[in-house]
Amino acid sequence: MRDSDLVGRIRSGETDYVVVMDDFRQQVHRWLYAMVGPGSDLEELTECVFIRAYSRLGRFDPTKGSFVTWLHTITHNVAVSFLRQRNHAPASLDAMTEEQGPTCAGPAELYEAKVRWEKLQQAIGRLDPLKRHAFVGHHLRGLTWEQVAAEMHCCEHSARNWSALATEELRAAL
Amino acid sequence: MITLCKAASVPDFTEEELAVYGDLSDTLRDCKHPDIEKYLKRAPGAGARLRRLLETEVRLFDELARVRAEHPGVDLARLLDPDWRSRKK
Repeated sequence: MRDSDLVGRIRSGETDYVVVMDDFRQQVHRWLYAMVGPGSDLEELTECVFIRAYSRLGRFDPTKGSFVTWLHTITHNVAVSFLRQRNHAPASLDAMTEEQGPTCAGPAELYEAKVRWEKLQQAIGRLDPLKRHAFVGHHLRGLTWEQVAAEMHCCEHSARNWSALATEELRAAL
Repeated sequence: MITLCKAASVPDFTEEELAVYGDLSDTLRDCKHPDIEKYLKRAPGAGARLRRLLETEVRLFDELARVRAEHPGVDLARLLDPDWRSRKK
């Protein structure tokens, strides 16, 4: 079914929006995880994305992109709003403890982590573009292998292979 | 649909290895903690290379989770691969 048909059927009530969105729930959850990190807010944010998407169905324009791309844009906007609010809200002790992990890292650990991250960033930057595309697509953007393959115009086998080769190459940076 | 050819001399992974790697990676991406040994049992013929790959994958996801937790407002995908949007076109 084409995206425009799908949206039309939802708007006319022929197709149940909740059922359709269930197919996208895991995907939206992964996108949100990639943008805001782990936490109990993910379920609530996922619902927020679906509510916002429903209220804006009339604005979906298939000539500007696919339904998935449109949903990703809404997810991104919800995540950005959430992060803005969270970063301006006074942090509770519980939240701070949770974010910092079970034990507070000392200066040495923090320095080591910073150096490790810089090494990893540089190593990702040095990857062949195809390897980086596959790796970032799956590991950071939360795409499925099928979606990575579609973006790269290759088969899933190749997408996994590029990502695996990237992972292998990044080992030295860890 | 094309299969991309790789110029580098590093050998490709086998179909079996990639199936195991892909599934482990999916599990990690879904914020679960997989048992590597169980995954390795699915590819009994695979050598040390697959074990190293899976161990690295776990460490990479740990590292990315740590960085996300420390920098919640940063879009790591754009930071690490700023070209992905233009490549999509």
